[in-house]
Amino acid sequence: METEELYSTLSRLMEGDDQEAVKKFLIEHIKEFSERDRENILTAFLEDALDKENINDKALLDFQNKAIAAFKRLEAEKAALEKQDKLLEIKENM
Amino acid sequence: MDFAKEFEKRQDKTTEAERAEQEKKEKGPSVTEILADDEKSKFFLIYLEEQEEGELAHKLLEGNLNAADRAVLEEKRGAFWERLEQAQKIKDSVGGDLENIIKVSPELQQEKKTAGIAALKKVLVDGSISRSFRDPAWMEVMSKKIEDRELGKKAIDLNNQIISEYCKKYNLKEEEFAATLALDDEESPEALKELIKGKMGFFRKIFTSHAELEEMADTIDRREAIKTGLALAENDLHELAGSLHEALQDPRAEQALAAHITGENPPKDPSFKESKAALKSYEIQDKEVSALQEVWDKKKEANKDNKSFDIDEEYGSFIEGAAENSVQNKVGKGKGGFWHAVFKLITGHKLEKKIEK
Repeated sequence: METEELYSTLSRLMEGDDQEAVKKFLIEHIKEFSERDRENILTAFLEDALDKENINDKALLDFQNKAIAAFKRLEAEKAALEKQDKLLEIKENM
Repeated sequence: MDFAKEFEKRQDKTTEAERAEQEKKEKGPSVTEILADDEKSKFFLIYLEEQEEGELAHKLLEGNLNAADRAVLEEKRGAFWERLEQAQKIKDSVGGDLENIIKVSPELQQEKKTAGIAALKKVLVDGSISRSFRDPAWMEVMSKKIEDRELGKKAIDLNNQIISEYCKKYNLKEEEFAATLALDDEESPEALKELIKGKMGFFRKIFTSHAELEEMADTIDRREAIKTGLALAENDLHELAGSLHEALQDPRAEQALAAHITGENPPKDPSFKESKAALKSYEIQDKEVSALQEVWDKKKEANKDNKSFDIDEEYGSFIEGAAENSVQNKVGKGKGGFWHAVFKLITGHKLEKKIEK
């Protein structure tokens, strides 16, 4: 693809709503861009990867926090049961 | 008010600020040491240009410095060193975990297959210091992303330790549970599927514990309240299992997992809309073109006898800087990210067509 066509296609894709199509186009045609632009595109994908990773990590953290909360609730209930058990034992022995 | 004490306090503050400034100045190598290092001196020159000390940079190259110039250089040195350290941190952080970062991006994975990891490393790791000097706004954005990443990973590690303790306490298979949580592990979705669809692993054990506890609860006075608590705890775990199970049915498991847990659709990058709108409304004005042409021509003229002035390289950097300014004017300072980079790419091409090299 000629340089002019590359950029006009890219601009046209940016006018649409398909983010994935823009990314696909950039990576499939990366060799046709100048060296400087190629570096800029790869660096943009690096930023994109870090953003995705941060979203995934946040989801994982939420999941872990829910798991920890569930464990804590379980612990509290177990402790309550143990206390009741002891009370029953005392009652029976009285 | 005790004025003497207040004055003393203020004096102390000044001293503290001065001390911090002094420490900043003393940090890092001397100007002579910087100039003795090819790479550092190159970045120092770029930094001086950015600080509008182009003439000083020129004198430095010619070895024609007077005492006043040396004083200015010394003043710039501390801030330069801070910039270099910040850039180095980005390089170390990305370089130290490049393979894992690439795993998150289908596009970088594709490029890794085509061009190889060494080519990617050259651009994304080795090139990060020079990019930080060419584009300080990029460096700021990246530093923030790297900081968030490191904090996130630390929090995940800490939570893993807590969960591991709980697993030990309740005699659950903590290794299995921890392994399934490591989403960057290629095998983890499979392991999770096995855990949830199969024998249920720790979930089943928890449920068994609940059954036992429920049985006990039947024999005591507060059984209703306790049973409700247990049901809630069990429900939490069911929800977790459900979220993971559903997420695993989706080929884009990680994104789906994020969506299930946060209760939202995977967030679309807001900068796409913003960049799209900015591109649509952006037109390069003739006034802007002639102003830029004038700046570029002056720079060329000032460097006509400078043998180290690589016109192609300098022109590329000039256009890149002008495109960055356009992006900042359109979408605001300190904005970064993928879509702004695409906007910058297209704007740079438009400027290149109008500004004569």
